[in-house]
Amino acid sequence: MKKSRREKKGKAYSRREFLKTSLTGAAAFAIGSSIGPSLVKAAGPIKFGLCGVTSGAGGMSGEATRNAFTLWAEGLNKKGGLLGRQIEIIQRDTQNKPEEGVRFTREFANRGDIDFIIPHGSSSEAFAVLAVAPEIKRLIGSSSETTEYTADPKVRSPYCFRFARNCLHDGLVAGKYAAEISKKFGLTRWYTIAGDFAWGRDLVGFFIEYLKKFNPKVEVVGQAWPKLFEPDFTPQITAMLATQPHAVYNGLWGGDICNFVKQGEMYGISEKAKFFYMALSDYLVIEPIVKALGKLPAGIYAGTRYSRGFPDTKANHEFHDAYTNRFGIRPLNWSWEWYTAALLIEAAVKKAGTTENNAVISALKDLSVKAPTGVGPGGTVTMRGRDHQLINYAVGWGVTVPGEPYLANIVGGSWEEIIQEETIWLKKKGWL
Amino acid sequence: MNIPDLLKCLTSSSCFITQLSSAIVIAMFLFLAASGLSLIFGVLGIGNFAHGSFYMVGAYLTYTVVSKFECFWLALILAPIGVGLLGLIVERLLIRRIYGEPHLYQFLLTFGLLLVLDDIVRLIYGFTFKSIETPKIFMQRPLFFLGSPIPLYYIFVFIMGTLVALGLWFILSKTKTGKTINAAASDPEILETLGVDVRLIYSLVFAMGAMLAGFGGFLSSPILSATPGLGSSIIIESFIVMVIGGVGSVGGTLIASILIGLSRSFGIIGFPDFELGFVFFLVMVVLIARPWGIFGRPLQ
Amino acid sequence: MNFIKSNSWLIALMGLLLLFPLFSPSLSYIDNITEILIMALFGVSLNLLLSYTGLLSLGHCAFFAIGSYTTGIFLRESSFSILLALFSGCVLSGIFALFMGYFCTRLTRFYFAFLTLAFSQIIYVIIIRWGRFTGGLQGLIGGIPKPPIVLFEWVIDVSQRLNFYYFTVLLVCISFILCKVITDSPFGWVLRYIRENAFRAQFIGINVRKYQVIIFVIAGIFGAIAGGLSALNINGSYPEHAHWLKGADPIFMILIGGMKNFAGPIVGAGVFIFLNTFISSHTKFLPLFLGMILIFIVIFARMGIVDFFVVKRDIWRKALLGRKSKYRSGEKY
Repeated sequence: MKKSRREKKGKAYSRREFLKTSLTGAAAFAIGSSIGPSLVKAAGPIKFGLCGVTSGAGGMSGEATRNAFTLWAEGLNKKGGLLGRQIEIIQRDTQNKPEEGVRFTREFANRGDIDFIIPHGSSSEAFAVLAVAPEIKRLIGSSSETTEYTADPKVRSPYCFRFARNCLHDGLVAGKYAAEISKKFGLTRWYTIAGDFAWGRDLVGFFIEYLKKFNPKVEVVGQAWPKLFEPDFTPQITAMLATQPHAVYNGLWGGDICNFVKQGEMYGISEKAKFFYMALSDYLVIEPIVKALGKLPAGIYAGTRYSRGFPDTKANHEFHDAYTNRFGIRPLNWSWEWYTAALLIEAAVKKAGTTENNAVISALKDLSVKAPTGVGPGGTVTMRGRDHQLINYAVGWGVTVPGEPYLANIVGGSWEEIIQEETIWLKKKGWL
Repeated sequence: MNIPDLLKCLTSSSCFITQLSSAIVIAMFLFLAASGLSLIFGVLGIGNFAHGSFYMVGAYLTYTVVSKFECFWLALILAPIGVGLLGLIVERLLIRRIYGEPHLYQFLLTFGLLLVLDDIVRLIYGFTFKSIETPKIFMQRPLFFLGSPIPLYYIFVFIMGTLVALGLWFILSKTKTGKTINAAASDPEILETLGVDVRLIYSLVFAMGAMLAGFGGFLSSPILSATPGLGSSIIIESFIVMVIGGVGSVGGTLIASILIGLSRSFGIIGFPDFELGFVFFLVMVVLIARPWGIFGRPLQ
Repeated sequence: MNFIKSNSWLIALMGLLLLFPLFSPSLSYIDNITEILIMALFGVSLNLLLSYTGLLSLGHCAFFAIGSYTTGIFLRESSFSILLALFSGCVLSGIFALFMGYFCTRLTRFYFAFLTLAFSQIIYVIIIRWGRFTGGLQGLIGGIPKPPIVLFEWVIDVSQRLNFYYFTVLLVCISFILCKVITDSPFGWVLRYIRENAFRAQFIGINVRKYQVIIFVIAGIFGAIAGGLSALNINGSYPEHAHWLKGADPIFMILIGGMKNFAGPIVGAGVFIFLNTFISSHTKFLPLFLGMILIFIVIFARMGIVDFFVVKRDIWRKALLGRKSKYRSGEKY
């Protein structure tokens, strides 16, 4: 008797257990799968879904991106919005995890109400999203500077647009400029130091290729690859000095440059060799250096990232001043890139007359728009249709001066030449 | 692998001295970051994943003090004390609750603390790189020793680091407080029956450990910009130094720091691509062959 | 019959998930569930070590990365089928787990945990240095081909999101059931005994290290399945998967979900992903809030969500059935 009752109770328990725990599980899944799709899309605000790094060491990129879009959106909203609709910005943090980038991108695509998806994270995230772009079939913007994103036909996607500079362009302009200087001053021994990650490696690769192309007499006497966000460069600095280079190409980024310059000044490196910094002229970097050393050391060669004075146009000055007044910090490289992206998307939407992504994608091809950092005809930039790469943006090199505007004698890269060399390189790779 | 260049450097006195000097400087910073960690682990049995964040807070506090009072030397006193206070608060509120608990909870609590601290500095200071003005005294010509330039600042770091190491050793082995701390590390129950307030000792030790890290942060400010995320970037190395040197041993931590410093400094010449992996390989070898490190006590 | 009774909820879950798309064909939920299931498998595999054997492994991300990269590389470079590529991931991961487990189990507690972390960072370094195969710091870019799976006469094209969802549900739920069988078996009970007191277990003749290494390998295999699925899901493998910061995620999930129940990591995965989205949509200080939640849970609320509900259920049972209830709170841990 007991047995059968227990057996019956056993079955009841398992049923109850089954119900309770599977309901709990189901509830958790329902919660975990976030917001359901909104079925109404038509006349609401135009939403931009940003996802990228907003926390931790790389958090400034997320902040700069959001600022750029906010500045643009506020300006446009005051004038009645885009196609009569107000613009809204949403941002999510991917914590530098590629799968989070993919997850948020997919989520944005699945929600019915996000009109434009902007994954602005690191290069890893950009490529992760690129890999799922064909499945999502939406317009994807990126600020990744890795050349393959748009140059490699096997990798690129018709949905993805690079609204940013690219290592090939940068390395080319840098190499050419450095070659001219090296010929003038007889700088034949070169050393390179750059962060050990994709951007650093790419950039130095291109730099050396074009340096040697335009001045075959140079030789690379050594290379250093400290890890990204390495706090201490002393061993690299001393190893570099030991090779007695005439000139040093520094492809470090951000805070690493501040640390390198401070640590280097202890050894008096600016007197021992001519320095060429790729990313020194970022305001993010200049300001801490000026604070630390009292002034910016003069006579250093630096590439432009974003400068108020380059291009020296009213549009650029206005952009800089508006951004600085609104956010209390000066524009960074991402700021001009994403502001330009916003302008391009705005123009494409107006041209297509809709926010429907496929139409906007078609409208974007070979579209030119006036932008603060545009150096094309009439101060425009162009979104090249062939590979969805931005061209005619301001890129150049100059020499540092102790005070504002910190970079003088800026020589802009000639876009005819850039495209010419780029074509040669692509043909050699078999990508054109 | 670049053995020829490495041999060339080892045999050239100027290269050897320069790389050696940079190795020692790295070692000093590592020592400051790891000694507190080792002390805390040795006495309290807590592997503090937020220790790197104390270092970071020290750097930020130095920035604040120098910005407000324009005096670097004031920060030498205020920054470590500030971090020590932070350590005290953290110990009282949080760490106290996980003594003797499974290591899982220790890891999770201190990891949570790491996340919180790294983001709080971002909340307070923003994401831009905070740099202090390098004190004028360090901006002189570097000294030359056997043909190699050694900046004055690094000599200062060396002196400070050595003083701290000696001071720590002295406190721990020669003073009554130090001997009490040692006792608390090996047998806290007996100590309690002798009437010593072990809880107070624990708080003191945690604050001391935090102060050491804070001092490291202060010392690094002339050459390092404070940035959020600094905490999580140095914690693993600190643990590696602690494990290799042996938990709770000042001498061990110092020697392990020098070892890592040397491997970094000569490694970038001899094996630049494996330098990062080499350090992990080293700690693996130590954990497999001699888990208690160079000067630690053998595990039971 | 016993098997069905004790695993009924898992089977029910699988059924629910398989039928789910019929009620809600919106991809939004399906994509999220796929993501949650993969993370849940990762969490469950770690839980085998953490909750059942008492081993805190901080280097579990190594298996995830090995599975992810192996699957990705084989699918790109050879003509392996998806199942064969996943299987290769399991094999490689199992071998590495054997090697890693052998050395790590010689140590205890903190040193064990740290050695697992060191091993996982060696994998990280190998991944970023072996550029020819792994794409170095960039990861595997250019996508991972998904050849259709051919089973008897069916051809299943997994590159369709819905089909991939079904594939994931089947694979993950079968893995869950296998893990549950392992933990419910006598082998699983020996693990619990070892967790309670390894010294006593050794004393009564159990070869503790052998059991620990075996469960290490099993955890490694299931971790690799999670990694392989992740590679297929996001169409790429990235070195971030092997970074120690990622290894902390599953531990967080297990804590939230509860360490005393098999379903803990599963629910924890859902909550963790939900938290990431929810918090990040309201503030840019995501790590701050995650850290505070973590601290709060460790100090005040160690009982995870599933544990909480199970205890409530037991209390109700006891109240309703009195002395006749054969369940005591916390007994079946």
